[in-house]
Amino acid sequence: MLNKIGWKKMAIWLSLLVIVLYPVFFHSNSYIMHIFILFFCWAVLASSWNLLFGYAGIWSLAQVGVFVIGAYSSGMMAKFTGISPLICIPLAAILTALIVTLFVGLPSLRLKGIYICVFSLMFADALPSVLTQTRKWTGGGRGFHDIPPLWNNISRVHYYYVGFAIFLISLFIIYKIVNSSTGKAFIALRDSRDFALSLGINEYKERLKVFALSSFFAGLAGAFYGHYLGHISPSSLGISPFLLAIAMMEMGGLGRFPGAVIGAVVLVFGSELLRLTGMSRLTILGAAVVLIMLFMPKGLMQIVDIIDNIKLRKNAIIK
Amino acid sequence: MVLKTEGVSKYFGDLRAVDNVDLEIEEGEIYGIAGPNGAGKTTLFDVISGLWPPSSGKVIFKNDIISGLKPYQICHKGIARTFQISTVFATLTVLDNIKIGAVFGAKTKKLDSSHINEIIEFLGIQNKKDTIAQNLELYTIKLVMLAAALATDCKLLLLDEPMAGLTIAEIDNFLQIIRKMNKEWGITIVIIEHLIDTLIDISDRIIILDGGKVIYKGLPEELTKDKKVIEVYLGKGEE
Amino acid sequence: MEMLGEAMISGIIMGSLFGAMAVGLTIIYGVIKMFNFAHGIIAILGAYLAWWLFSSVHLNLIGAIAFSFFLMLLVGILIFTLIIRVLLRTPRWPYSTIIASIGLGIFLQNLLLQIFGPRIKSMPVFFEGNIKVGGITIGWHEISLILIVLSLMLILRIFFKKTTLGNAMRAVAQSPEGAKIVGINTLKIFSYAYMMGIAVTGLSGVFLSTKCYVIPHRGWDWMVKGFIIVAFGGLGNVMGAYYAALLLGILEALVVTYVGTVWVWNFWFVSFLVILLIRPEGLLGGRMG
Ligand SMILES: Nc1ncnc2c1ncn2[C@@H]1O[C@H](COP(=O)(O)OP(=O)(O)OP(=O)(O)O)[C@@H](O)[C@H]1O
Ligand SMILES: [Mg+2]
Repeated sequence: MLNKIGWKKMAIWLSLLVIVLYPVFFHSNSYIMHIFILFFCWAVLASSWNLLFGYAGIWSLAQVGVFVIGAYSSGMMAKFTGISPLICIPLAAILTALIVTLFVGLPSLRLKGIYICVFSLMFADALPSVLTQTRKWTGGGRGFHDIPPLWNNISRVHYYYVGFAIFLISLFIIYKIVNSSTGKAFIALRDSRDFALSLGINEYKERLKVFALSSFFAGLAGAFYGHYLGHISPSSLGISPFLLAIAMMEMGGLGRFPGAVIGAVVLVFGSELLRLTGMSRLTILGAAVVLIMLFMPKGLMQIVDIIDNIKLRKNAIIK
Repeated sequence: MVLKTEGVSKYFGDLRAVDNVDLEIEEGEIYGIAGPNGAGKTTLFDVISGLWPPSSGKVIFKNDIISGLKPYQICHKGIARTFQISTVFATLTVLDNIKIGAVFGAKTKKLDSSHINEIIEFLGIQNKKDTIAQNLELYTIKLVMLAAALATDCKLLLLDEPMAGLTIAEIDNFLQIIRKMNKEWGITIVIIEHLIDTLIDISDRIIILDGGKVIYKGLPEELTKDKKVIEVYLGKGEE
Repeated sequence: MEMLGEAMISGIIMGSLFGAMAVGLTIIYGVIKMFNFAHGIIAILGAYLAWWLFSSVHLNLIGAIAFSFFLMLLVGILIFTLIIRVLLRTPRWPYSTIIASIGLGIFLQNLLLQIFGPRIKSMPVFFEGNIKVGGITIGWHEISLILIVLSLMLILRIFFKKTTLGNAMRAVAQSPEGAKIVGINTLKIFSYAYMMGIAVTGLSGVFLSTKCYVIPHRGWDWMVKGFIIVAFGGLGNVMGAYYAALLLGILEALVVTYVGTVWVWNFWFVSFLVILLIRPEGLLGGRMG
């Protein structure tokens, strides 16, 4: 008999199995594999954002910018130094975490709620102009090209499995974090700041921690993304990726695990469908975001709760 | 002496919410604070627990100056508090709420689950352990708030109107809990309470605040005879 | 000397225009305490409506602007009733209104793009010709813009100080609970403030479109500038936003003239950082009025 936890575990293992086996059976269809790889990147990005925005309640809007910083750092490191991208990717993630903690996390310690929104938005908005002014190295508006691949003669299947590994590891660690006492401290500060402070939580330390952690994972995903595509440009900082990520986070269920991943599934594959049908993606996405806020404020995780409740009631009746 | 404030003031712009307050609180006593609405009682707690730095004056805890320290540092010194507006971590379970106090508030960073269990049993909330806090009713919320504060291993506990909104039976229970914490666990208690009779009943010493100033300081028995107090506080139709 | 004079003038003009735009933001924030993240797009929408009424419906200039103002009031009440009011009832409204207005902004932006196409739109100038003052050339159009925005500010000031509705808005801005106690219907006041904010913003978009080119995605830049201005002037402070916009407009023009255009965005970023770190409540404090 399936108990309360059973069906969720089943669903997770089943999806992982499908992902693992997919290339074995559909080796030839590289388009779907490409979408899967994008999904891995987006899912990590959205989950890292959820850590900051959903769990810690810090309304930073710069997360796509963080992702792009990761992509540029790793790409430039690999291209200019010749170090293997496999080493550059984690290094770039650490560098991203440092940069973001310093330039967004530290100043935002003095800011509250809405001001962090505005400040982080400005930070992300300033990035394209930084890129333009450093165009000698970064390629400016035309973008940064010829990012080295992970290794020579790499095939898409390899990217697929590396991406999958990054996805798994990141989500596993994020899951561990939100269930650890550090994660509980983030939630405590969000739910009731004064009470959290009076119980001995060091607010500055925890906020810097969450900035560092969330930007590490966003940077990691971005770094991998850059090597996979081979180029990165300021257009990734535009409104469309931003909206996509925000929609994933809230569509899945803010401050819930693995909400952002579910949101990423729906939006990556959904928006690909929209693209194929030739409809205006952004108009529909924009409207969808508003509608979700109005009618499904807890996101798709609400459906999980509903199933849980039905199961509970059934069990009660059986007893 | 456990806690001492020397000329502590806190201004909000021109408003003197707390105005030049001197207190000496002895180890092991129950110290009562009362005063009309807006007298500055809560603000005084906010200053002691570090949520606001005082505009002037000093707070001394066991011979250390603690004014100017961050709230978490003050908590680690051994001062815990509860809030007038009942707040818990709404999306965490009762147990996790208490664990926050134990993990972050106690000086020993190791989680002592027997201590947590002791607190939970002492307050009688065993069967609520796994409930999400936002689904609790008022009395349990107050107990959880208290439990988390106790989990920090505090020596001094500041209670801000802990019994407001409770039924008579619940108030009786709560008074017993306060006495027990004080007698058996040796925790010094400062309590803000609007009901004067209750306060007289439980406190060893009492101060009355009005307009941020101390207008009475002394034994509970003499409180109702004090002219100023009758004029300012009891004269307002409270009794 | 002439360069300095010209920089000052152009700074005052752009400052006035962005001031008008930021005022809408600050009214909405001041009263409802929500940030309108669809703000830039609302300004663009106002400009597009006026442009459409002028060039396709062939209303005269004043008629087009007046009618677009009226339409923007309708847009305001529509958004408020359908979205904002519903969200304000939920406990997480500070967050959900942000996300919903981002979604709304992107929706409107792409809708405009689909309806009107990607070509750049701009409104004609109000008055042709210019005058020379001490070697500096100023267009009559620019002078009229400065005066129009100045009178708009004065009208708003009188509105908030003297009229019953304006006073009610200020009361709600200071304390919604207090306002409720004295019998003010806060939800109604919210809806009026939102309508007003949206309509004024649309109007500012019309003015802006006579000076800059307008395409839908520009709205986001405008909005960020609006945020900085509002933060500078103190959230919810109408005159503060105007003064801050003038100050920042002049400083920006000086940066363009003496340092270089590429540095403008960095200049805005740094100003913002400095003001937030030194005085989080803005230069002039956050009082309504
Ligand atoms: N953050 C603040 N900013 C400005 N004024 C404040 C602030 N907090 C409290 N005050 C003011 O300080 C004064 C004292 O408030 P406080 O909450 O300490 O009173 P209290 O004695 O606890 O009252 P009550 O019995 O209602 O709890 C009041 O006039 C209040 O309006
Ligand atoms: Mg109080």
